[in-house]
Amino acid sequence: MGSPLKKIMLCSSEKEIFSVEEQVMVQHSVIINNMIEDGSYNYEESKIPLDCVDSKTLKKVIDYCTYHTHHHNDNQEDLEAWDAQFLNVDSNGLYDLLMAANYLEIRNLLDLIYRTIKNMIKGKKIDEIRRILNIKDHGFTPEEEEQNRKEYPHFY
Amino acid sequence: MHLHCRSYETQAEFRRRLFAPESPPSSFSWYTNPLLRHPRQEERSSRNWLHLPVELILIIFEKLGAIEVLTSVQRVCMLWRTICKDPYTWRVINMRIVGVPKFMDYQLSSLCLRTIERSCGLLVDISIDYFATEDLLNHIANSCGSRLRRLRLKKCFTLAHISNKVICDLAKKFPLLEELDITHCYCFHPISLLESFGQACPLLKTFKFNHHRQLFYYYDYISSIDVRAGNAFAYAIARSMPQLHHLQLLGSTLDCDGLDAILNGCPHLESLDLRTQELGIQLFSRAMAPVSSSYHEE
Repeated sequence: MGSPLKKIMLCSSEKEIFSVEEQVMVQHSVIINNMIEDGSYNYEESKIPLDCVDSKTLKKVIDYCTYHTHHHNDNQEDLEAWDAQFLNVDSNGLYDLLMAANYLEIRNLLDLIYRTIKNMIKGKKIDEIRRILNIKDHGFTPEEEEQNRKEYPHFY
Repeated sequence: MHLHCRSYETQAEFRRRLFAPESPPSSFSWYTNPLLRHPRQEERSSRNWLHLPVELILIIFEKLGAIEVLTSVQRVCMLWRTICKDPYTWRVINMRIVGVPKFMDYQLSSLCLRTIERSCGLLVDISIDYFATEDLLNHIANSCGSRLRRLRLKKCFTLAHISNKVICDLAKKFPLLEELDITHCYCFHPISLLESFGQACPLLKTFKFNHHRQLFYYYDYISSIDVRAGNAFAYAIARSMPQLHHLQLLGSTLDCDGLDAILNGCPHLESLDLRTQELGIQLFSRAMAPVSSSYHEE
């Protein structure tokens, strides 16, 4: 663990560099924590390449980690309100965040995203789920689909 | 027991990239001029949730619960249906119901039976609300009891009438059980239940046996002498479940003696949850003094 204000560099898929307080990422991301601990990060030279995370998403992830590092003493309601506001994104944005949080292993954020996805899908009709998740090609043959619709009309 | 979200593949890839030689330094305009960046606009509009790694889909399914998945979600697309047919998906079956059950029309019991069949004996963790019956438990015990590690039953009122002998036979079929959670089931023979499971399940680490306080009075042979009943239960735990690490007895009525018995009888206890317990705080702290560091209240 370095001093609290030590910075580390994260590099998005667009090769944009983000400089973040080490403590912020170490606290939240299991992967970055492991890297710092086993000494594979060189403070002078290394940039952590995150080729599957674009700048917009990376910025959001850093926002999340920064806020939760500095406000972890806030009361639960305020944090939840902030989280709800934070995840007020379209399904594409949510997908990107999910992949990024999974890649960096940010457990709190993952939990939050899974909860959001669950609430998006739960209790919805099949057509609605397809629309929300932008699933155009469901892969069933027309006959199968028709039979399903006939058999279980209340799910569609 | 739970599926890990860690992806070893992505981690390996991450490492590989990290130690890969750096590409030659890009010119300054590369960073700042948006026109020179990767054309990602097209990709953005076509995020495909079907390309999500299967391990992440499994976590989402687990969060949604088996009922939701088996009714509508598995018909959303071919990929999800294929995943639903894989026995591995059903190692954990979560049939919990939030709020008032409204799915009764779909015959949850038969849905649960079919899910257990799909697991092909891989089942290790099952949670059932409301509709667990003696027959269903017997089916679980016979088809995958030898692997089961966690059994959670909540508000399964029909189990109240289950007989001593059946309980005893059932317990023997779960030799690997590590967690048993029986909440609001109002079993008529609580002591023989915990004795059977205590003896038959040597790996049992977590035991939860919870009640609403007011319904506690309906116990068969637990008379109106409330405290003695709670203590009798505590003594039975101390006698037959010395291996416990976590114990939760919400709505129980034991007093200081019962608590002492539990603390002495279960030396490995790491957490003890007795919320709604009416022990005086003084008595409580006296009894807890020797193990104060291990007491944990959620």
